[in-house]
Amino acid sequence: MVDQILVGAAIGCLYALIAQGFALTFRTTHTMNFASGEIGAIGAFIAVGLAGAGALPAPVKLAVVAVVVALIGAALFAVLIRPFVTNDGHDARWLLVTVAMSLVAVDVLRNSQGTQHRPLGFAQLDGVFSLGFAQVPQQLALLAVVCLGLGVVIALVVTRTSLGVRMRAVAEDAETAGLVGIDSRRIGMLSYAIGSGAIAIGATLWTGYVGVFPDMGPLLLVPAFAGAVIGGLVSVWGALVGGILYGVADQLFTYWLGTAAGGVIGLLAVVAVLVLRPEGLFARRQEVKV
Amino acid sequence: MIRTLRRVALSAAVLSLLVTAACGGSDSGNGGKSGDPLQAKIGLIGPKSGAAQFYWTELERGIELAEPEIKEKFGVTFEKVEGDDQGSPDVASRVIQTMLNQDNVDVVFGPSQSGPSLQVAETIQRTGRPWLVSIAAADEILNPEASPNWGFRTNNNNSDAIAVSGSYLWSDSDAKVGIFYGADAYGQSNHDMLLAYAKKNGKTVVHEEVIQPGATDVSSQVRKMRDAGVTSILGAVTTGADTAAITKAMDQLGYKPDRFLVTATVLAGYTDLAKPREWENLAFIEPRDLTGDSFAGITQKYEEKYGEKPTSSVAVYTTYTSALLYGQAVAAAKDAHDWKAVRQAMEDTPKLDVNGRVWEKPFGAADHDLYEDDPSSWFVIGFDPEGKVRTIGSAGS
Repeated sequence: MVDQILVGAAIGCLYALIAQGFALTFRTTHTMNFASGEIGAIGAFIAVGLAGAGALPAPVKLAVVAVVVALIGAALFAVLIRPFVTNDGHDARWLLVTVAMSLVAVDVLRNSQGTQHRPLGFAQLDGVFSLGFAQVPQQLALLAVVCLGLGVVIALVVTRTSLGVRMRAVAEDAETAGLVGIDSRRIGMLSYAIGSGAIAIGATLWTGYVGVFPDMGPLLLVPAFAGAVIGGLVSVWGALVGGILYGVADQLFTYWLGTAAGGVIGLLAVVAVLVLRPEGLFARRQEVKV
Repeated sequence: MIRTLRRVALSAAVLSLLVTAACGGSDSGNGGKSGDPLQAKIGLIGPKSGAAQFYWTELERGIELAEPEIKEKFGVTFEKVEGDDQGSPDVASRVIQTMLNQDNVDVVFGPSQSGPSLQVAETIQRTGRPWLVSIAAADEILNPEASPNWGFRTNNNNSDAIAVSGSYLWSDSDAKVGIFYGADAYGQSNHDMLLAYAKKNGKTVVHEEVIQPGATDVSSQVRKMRDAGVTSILGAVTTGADTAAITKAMDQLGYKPDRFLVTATVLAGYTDLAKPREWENLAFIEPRDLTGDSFAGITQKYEEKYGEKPTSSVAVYTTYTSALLYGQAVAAAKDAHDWKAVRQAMEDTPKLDVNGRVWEKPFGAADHDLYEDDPSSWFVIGFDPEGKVRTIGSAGS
């Protein structure tokens, strides 16, 4: 069972990283990118394209992937999401746009790359990492270390740096933040860039384990969104923990109850959290004066 | 009054014409083509878009590859009409109506998948067109009780595959047999048939695990299979990637059952994703000798023409076979638009030669399946360390 917990936690670290992307953009722009899974897929296909560039070491290839996808994320916000961001938060067209983008991305990837899985071609570790009492595939161990590391860095940036202060200022009140010279548009683009770049790295490492394929988006989106809701949509630390919890629950309940039950237990947990503690397990309740 | 009656009569006439068209015409067979009797208007239906596009590609290319041989041997040419069913039964239902009633095709090739094929089976049967089922394997697609039966299958059907698989899995009397099956129609169908086979033969399937198509980690399911003491496994999943997820978990857990039998879906990309040590004891059964001259020759033709390996070489071969069967029947009937004669010519085919593999009288009035369930005529296939297919032996030995 310890093996299952470790595997679940490792995959959960990827969910957590994507969930953090949700939390980051939701804090700063009150929007979320429902094409996050496809952003990861785009990153993985770019990585496959770079696999042939033999001279570049794997970390450099990953960095290139992250930068390119970060730019795509920033552009996505500036061009397609930002026009629908309103102060009252009642305009939901951004949601439709991101969902539409996910469908478009899947179709483009299917038609241009085919539907079959293909190997990543680099940054792949073979074998298992043994802890004595348990073991975990080396690729998943690498995925966990990188995703967790990125997640902690993002959380520290948001909570401990001047950039994080500006992000939180925009999250609190974009108009007032604007009065003191904080450009909420730029903060939004930056949030989308950071979230997208991080997702691209995590998703690419994950495809080193499962292969690269156009339909990988939903496999990442649903658990990551669930993790974000469980942890709290406005808490970057909460999203990190929520994603990991989801991954562990998914593995354990699949082992105990079978595939069908294991697949839905995490979603039932989301419903329970929404009913009992809508702000999530780790976010502070926000009182709003009316 | 008279004007009103005329309107009503006219409307009724138009309506009955529309209804007749929607239900398909007679089965007497006249494609409405007054041109060359040896030019057939063929309808190709399959998933041009959607997640299983490669099945469309192989359907289309299998026909294309066979066309020169059909023209040379039988003088028959094809005019193609294409229909995209998107892998959906509902869409297939609409597409087939257009193909049969507006395009007025002489024959239908496809759909490639079982779900859409089952959806259109009755319509094709009703409108009386020769129907070549070259990829889809669900037994129920061909209705043996329909007389005449318009469908002819050049792939093996699922129950034949399960019958041969069962004899292989239980060939050791002490074997403890389990199954991994996909949570889709394909997996469920294989699961149900294996259980039916076990029941019929007094055997027991000791453990079952469902695999979600596209699942990326199945270590929980593999661990439970191992803990149940299973020594002989059937893996009935839809893609090579799903099989790779299973063998990866087996490798990581150090679980090596005596026999791990999968289906030919493993050919779709498995060896790109797995390591040689993961496929050491992996095998699948096939009624075609994948390393024999007949099969390898067509795969080679494919690679030469398209500059790439087929995603599913089996689908290419079975579609090539279906095109040859049809072309030969058109030549025998002397008129592609005489559907009844073409259907009868296929049923009466005296000999079918597919690149050197010969079938003598492969069909009969009650048998429109090209392959049989005799294990001795099936092959056990595996992969060599380079990932190339190798024939291990006969499934009957």
